[in-house]
Amino acid sequence: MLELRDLHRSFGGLVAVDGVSFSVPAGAMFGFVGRNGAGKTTVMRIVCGLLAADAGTVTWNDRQITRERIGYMPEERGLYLKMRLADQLEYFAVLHGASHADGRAAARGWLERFGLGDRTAARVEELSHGNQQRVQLAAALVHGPELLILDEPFAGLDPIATDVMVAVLREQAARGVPVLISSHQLELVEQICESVAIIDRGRLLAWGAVEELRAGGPRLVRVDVRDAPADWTDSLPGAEVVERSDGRTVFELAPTGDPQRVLDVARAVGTVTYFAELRPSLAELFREAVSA
Amino acid sequence: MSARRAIWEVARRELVERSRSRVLRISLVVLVLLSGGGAVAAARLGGHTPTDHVGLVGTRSEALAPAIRLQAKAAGRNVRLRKLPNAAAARRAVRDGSVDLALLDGNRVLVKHSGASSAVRVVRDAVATRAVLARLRRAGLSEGRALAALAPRALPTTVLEPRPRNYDRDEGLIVIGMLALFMMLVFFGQALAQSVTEEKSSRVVELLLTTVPPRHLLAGKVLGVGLLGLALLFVPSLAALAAGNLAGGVGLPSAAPEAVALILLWFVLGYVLYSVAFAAVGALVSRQEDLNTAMLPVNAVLIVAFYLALFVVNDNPNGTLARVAAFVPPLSPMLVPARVVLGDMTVLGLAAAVALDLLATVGIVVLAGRAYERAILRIGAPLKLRRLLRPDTARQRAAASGTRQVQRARHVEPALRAGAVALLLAGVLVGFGDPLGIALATVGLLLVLAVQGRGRLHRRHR
Repeated sequence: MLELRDLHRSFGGLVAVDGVSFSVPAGAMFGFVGRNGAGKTTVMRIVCGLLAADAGTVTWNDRQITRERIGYMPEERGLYLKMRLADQLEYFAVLHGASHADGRAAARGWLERFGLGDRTAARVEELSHGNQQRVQLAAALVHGPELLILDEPFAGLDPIATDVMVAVLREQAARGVPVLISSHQLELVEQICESVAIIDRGRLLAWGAVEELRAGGPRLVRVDVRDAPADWTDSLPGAEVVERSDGRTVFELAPTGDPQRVLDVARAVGTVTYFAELRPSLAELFREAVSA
Repeated sequence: MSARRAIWEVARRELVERSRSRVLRISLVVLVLLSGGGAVAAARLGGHTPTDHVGLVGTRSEALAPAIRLQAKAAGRNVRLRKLPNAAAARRAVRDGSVDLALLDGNRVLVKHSGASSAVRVVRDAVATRAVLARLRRAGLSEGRALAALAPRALPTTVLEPRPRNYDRDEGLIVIGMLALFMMLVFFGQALAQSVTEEKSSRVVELLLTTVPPRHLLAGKVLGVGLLGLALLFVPSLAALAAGNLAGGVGLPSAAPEAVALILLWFVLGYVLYSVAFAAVGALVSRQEDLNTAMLPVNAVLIVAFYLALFVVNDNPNGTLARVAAFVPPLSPMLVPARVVLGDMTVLGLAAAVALDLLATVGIVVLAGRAYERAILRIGAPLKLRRLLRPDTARQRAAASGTRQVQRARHVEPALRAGAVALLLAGVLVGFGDPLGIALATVGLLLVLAVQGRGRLHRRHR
């Protein structure tokens, strides 16, 4: 388990990270979301050892983290533009402790996997943007990391490339590797991550399983009723109307409120054409958390 | 991964990737051809004693043959004598160049273009000496006394400031060594700075730094580029030596091992000092366009060192300027070899200069490492040097250690450092000929080491 405890970091007078704590269990896909400048990259750089925290600790399985075992994909992509793909990936593997032979084999393996098997001798500058992104991910994976830290891995990718990347990341998670992903694409994060942390202005606003966070939001129920009298909602205790337009009503339930009771009353007064419990999307939770 | 392996892998990449460059390969071939060809040409042109061809017409000319041979030998030239039957044959031989001149009847010289050649001078002097000898004999001197009169005892000469033996040869070596170091620093120091900037601007450095600490990355790059530069200097030099030897010319002067060793030592010291500075400068900027401006200060020091060295070597290796400047670390690599081999620097002075240079190198490595660590991840406008070099702020340190002791150390350390440097300087100024100077410098050096060790202890403690 990757554990961040009470991280603080400031640059000059600017507080970039202010008491961030969360943990990522082994094998989890973990989303790390926040606005631009919220402190995501700073936290990730601290985890990777690129920046020192002013205070706080990062542990991996209760011990100090070994940098070599991390696979990192920086937000600002970085590769040697004039170096051949296979040589480059081999170099990154070797710097993480692999032998040259193992590094070369792993480099070729990942290039095959990303459909670049016939371009091992190409230089990065000759590749398309999407392919460069694939090589960047390969550079994070080539040494078989125990932990993946990916800063905006999907930025600028087309849907097909995104699918390939998601498949590879799921595979890594299935191997027991925790995958920490920062992203702006909240729908995507909601789809692929079991857990998220929301950060704003350096402070952690919320973190936990996506389902729990959604369940923890306001309990909303939407009912569409035809031919009902305008005042039918008055007879519903524990449910407050928050939105109403011809035939469609959204209630917010009190903690004791029961959605089935709302349905019963609605059926008694008219024909119910639509009934659903509304759970806030991650994007809505995020907006609410950030604007609070 | 061990520090050594990390440094070596970084160095290895520099070597492999750079040696793939076509420009580098072509330069190497051109350098080998030029230096090898130059050595062969030098051996062909300059390796032999010049030979004069002299035609002799008539018995009086032939009688002068031994005198001409003696004179040529005295002038350091070979002479080939050839009997010619008559003046017409002599004219033909001079015209077609088979002889440089002809001596007619022992009293006239025939030349093709000009009477001012060395061959004419040899023959003229031989004839004149012969005539003087004949007159002395006629005046009644014996052959022995006449010869003695012609060759008086050498004038006694007192040398006030004797130069070491082989001064000229050593001066040549020193100048070549300096030139090599200067070229190496200009080309490879700047190449190093460029490659640091390239890693920064392509942002690949962020990936590298997750596994290699900045200091190891810096050391690996310095090592890799340095090895390549050495190869690029040594391969053509060896080619020149081999080609020169094969062509029968000069090899490495066999009697100069200590001069060569000294030049090599300072070559390495100088390269490390400057290359680290260049690398640090490379880390300050994000774009290649900003690099030239940023390198200006380092280049300026380098050029000053080079001109000072040329001046000192050519002019006065024992002057006050040379004496003082040899102890200034960025200038030492260019000056100390000249001061030791050509001047009067002692072993003690050499040791002090090496110690000061190493001290400065440690200082530059610490500062450059700090600049590198702080600057390498910041993209944008070139960074201000001062912001990068100043020690961590008190707040950061206090946050890191949670003690007040460190804050006190912040004031004590610079004071100790300044004191140490002052002692060292005082020692140098008093001079190492004086026991006081040696004592001052030694205390200063020990103090520096103590402060350094203390700082390290603190860091480890934290």
